[in-house]
Amino acid sequence: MVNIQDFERVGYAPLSAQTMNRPVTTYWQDAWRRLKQNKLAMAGLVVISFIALLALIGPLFSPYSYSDQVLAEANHPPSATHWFGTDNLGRDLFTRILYGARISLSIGVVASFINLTIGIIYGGVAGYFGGRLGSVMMRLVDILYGIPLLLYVILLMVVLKPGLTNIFIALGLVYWLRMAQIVRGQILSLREQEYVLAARLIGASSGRIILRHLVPNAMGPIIVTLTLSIPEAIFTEAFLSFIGLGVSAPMASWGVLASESVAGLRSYPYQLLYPALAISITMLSFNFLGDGLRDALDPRMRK
Amino acid sequence: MEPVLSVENLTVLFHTYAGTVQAVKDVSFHLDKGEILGIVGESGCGKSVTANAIMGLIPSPPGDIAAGRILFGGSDITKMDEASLRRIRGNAISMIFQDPMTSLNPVLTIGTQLTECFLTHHSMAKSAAAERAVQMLKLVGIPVPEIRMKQYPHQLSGGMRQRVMIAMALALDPQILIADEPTTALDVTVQAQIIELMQKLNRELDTSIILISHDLGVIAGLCSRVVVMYAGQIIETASVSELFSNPRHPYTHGLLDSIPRLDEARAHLESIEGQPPDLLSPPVGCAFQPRCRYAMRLCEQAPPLFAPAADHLSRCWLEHEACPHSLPVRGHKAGEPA
Amino acid sequence: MSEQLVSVEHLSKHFVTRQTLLGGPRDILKAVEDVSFSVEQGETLGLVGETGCGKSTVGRTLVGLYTPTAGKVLFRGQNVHDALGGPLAEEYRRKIQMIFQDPYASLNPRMTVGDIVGEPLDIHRLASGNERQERIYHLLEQVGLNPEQAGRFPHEFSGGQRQRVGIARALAVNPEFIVCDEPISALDVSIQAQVVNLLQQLQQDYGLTYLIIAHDLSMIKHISRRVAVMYLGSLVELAPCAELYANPQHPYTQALLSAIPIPDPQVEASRHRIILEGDVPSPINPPSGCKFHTRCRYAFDRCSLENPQFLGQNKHYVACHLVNK
Repeated sequence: MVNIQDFERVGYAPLSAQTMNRPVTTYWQDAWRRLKQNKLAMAGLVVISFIALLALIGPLFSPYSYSDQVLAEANHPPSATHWFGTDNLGRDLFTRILYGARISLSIGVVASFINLTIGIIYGGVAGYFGGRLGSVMMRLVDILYGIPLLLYVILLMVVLKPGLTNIFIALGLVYWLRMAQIVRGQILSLREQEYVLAARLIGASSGRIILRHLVPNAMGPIIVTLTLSIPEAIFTEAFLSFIGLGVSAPMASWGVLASESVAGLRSYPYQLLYPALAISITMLSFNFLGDGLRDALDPRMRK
Repeated sequence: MEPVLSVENLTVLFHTYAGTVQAVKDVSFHLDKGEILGIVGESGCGKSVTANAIMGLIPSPPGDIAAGRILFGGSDITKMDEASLRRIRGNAISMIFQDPMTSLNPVLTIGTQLTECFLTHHSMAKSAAAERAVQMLKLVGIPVPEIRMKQYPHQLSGGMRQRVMIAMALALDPQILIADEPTTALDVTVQAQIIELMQKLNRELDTSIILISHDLGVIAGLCSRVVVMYAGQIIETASVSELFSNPRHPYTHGLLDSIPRLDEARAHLESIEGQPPDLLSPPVGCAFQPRCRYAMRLCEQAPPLFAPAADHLSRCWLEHEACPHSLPVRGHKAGEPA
Repeated sequence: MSEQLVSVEHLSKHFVTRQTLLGGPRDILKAVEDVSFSVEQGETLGLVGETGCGKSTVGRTLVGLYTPTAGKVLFRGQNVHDALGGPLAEEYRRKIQMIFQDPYASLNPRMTVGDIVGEPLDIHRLASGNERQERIYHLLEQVGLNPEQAGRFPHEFSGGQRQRVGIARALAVNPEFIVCDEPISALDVSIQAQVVNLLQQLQQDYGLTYLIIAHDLSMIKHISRRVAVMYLGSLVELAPCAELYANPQHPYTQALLSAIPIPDPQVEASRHRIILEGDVPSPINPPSGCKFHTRCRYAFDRCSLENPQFLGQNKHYVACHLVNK
């Protein structure tokens, strides 16, 4: 039933209806929500966090150290006292693997961040300034990329001699090529966006444009590349250690452990199994996480 | 006469992470044979979703036809399975889109894409299909069609590509052509060509057309009847002359007041303040109320469709028989020069 | 006689599209070819044309995003591109600004709206601390936005609101001349009038001069004092607004005006349209002589041989052999 009062005019206030009901969502919150929906990626994240935690505090809880040799207990299979068994010098493998985690993970992360820094600077300059400078810089990258990067690393390690710092140097000096290509590609495509033109118009300097406008918007693919380059670094280090060019004894990265186990492989296969499993699971987890991040950070998927 | 297409109380929802979006709510209209029906509205009003629902193209996980029917040839499109829908699409009901560049496959020649239309739905020899394709290109006014058959989409201009789209859509002589913003991405002189083409095809082939556009000029030039949508609902339906000379809904009224006309000079454009509502949390009552200059207390309740005149529907409480207010007459009478 | 704020003299802008490996340019896109016009203080000049006519290129060259291949752009008699390359650059950046077409691409998605509007203030050191906040709030209010939403990101606003943010950003430096590159074409119809009204209001309040680039001739007619028509890189007609629309002299302008749909079914039904045949030629390979002659109903022999001069009287200029006999 409608009565005459209902037809009374009410005020006209269209702008008051312009309130925003939803809470502020930043790009990162949005991406995190999308990432959470990806089961594999979350599994990867959980595993990585677990391994990192173990690497950090695990050795504190172990009654053994990584270098104590008890020859009487050499080559024991996994048991209650030695969860992963012992190696040929009687050292507890589980503890060795925990320390190995520290080394392998730190190599993976530090090397990747060195690559990130060099790659962003090189790719950023090549992409933003373009022209002949950019072309020359990228042709250089293309030429260097023509040879398998592992070869460069091996050569560098031969020259520098095995050791942890030298591995950082070798990996850092070589693997930035990929990051530079990614960064340059991103910058190229973002450079002509209207908000970049607007920034130029209001008088922003090149540095400001690269740092405030281009890099933050390129972070998606950069983070994905970073995440995916960590397993590559871990594997490369494992390979180097396997062929004897990596860290030196008694420091035990997973690659070293794998290398040492080859001699007694037929009799004591567990000595290879655990390091290999550690490498594989870690790499897989980073790959799943990286894939998930790629979808989560894709700006086009924004709703 | 039985309408060719009848949409009844159609409601389409989209289930997103943030909630349920009521993209289309209780929409009803019909399309008669040989007529050009216009659907006018702005972004988010639900016109494209309606068109997609008619073609059976609503993606089923987020999308959900919650209510209503779409009657075509005696059956309900909303209940059809994919196989039956595929028989209809392109064959009985066709659609052309806004951007012809993304609707055409860039790696196939025009000829291949056009003949594919024929070969998918009928079994005929390739040469026969090619001949029909050339005929269609001639029909849509493409000069030297034999050469164009061998060209790729990027070698054609925007206007040409849109003509090819129209040729592909009409290849199988469908009963209904749905044109979703067919001229929006085109230059104005090319737009005039395409409008003329659509008029000619409607006359010669008697194809019924649903024209979706936000451009009231294009609507005025092509359509015989118009449906106006806002926030997922139909808020006004009328013949084209009636809608432009005597709009009954404040939105239509405001829209006509806010667009400049080439043939008149106005000191000030009366704009509609504010913006369309967020369909995630649709307002209670009339969706247009926050922006309406004539809002009344009653507008807190959702208005039904009233019929102020024969064939003229308006979803507004101003049309209630007991309402003492009414819209001001539009200052400019149709047809009078400035 | 109003002061000439901006003067464009024989401006040309070419782009190299394809180049051989060893240098030596191949395809040259002549986006703008020998364009001259001026913009008077306080006026709104409309620049219209269809795709490929070069109007956007003209706009971007005027604000300094491109450097001219030939010709010059003067602001109060000073060469803009020379100034931008020297110590006066900052000053010029404050005087000439631009509003972009795409509200979804013209704002940095990672910056809050407050920061976007505040960035020009930071770059030019115009305000800091509390005063900066106040100025940002004031600017947002001026363009009709709620200042409390300064902490929100662009994706939370609608297209019309984003366009207002872009306008606020341009206003932050107190410019004198603003080039508006298709400011409303990406907006919904009911929002276009809002933004146009806002631009007009701001022009009154701040004494701004506009060059508005658009393809919507109905809207251009509403807001411009004078209108210039471009085709394939050249100016074909320039006249005061009412004069151009009542008495278009160039055959292209005539066809353009007749093609525009009018939101009135009776007028549309009784209209006689001039339909242009064929497509716009490629700007890489433009026709000889008058670039419009391939589609012109009145073309005669001189048209394919000689490029017509831009002449006229009573402020109405046309580049056409037929008209300028």
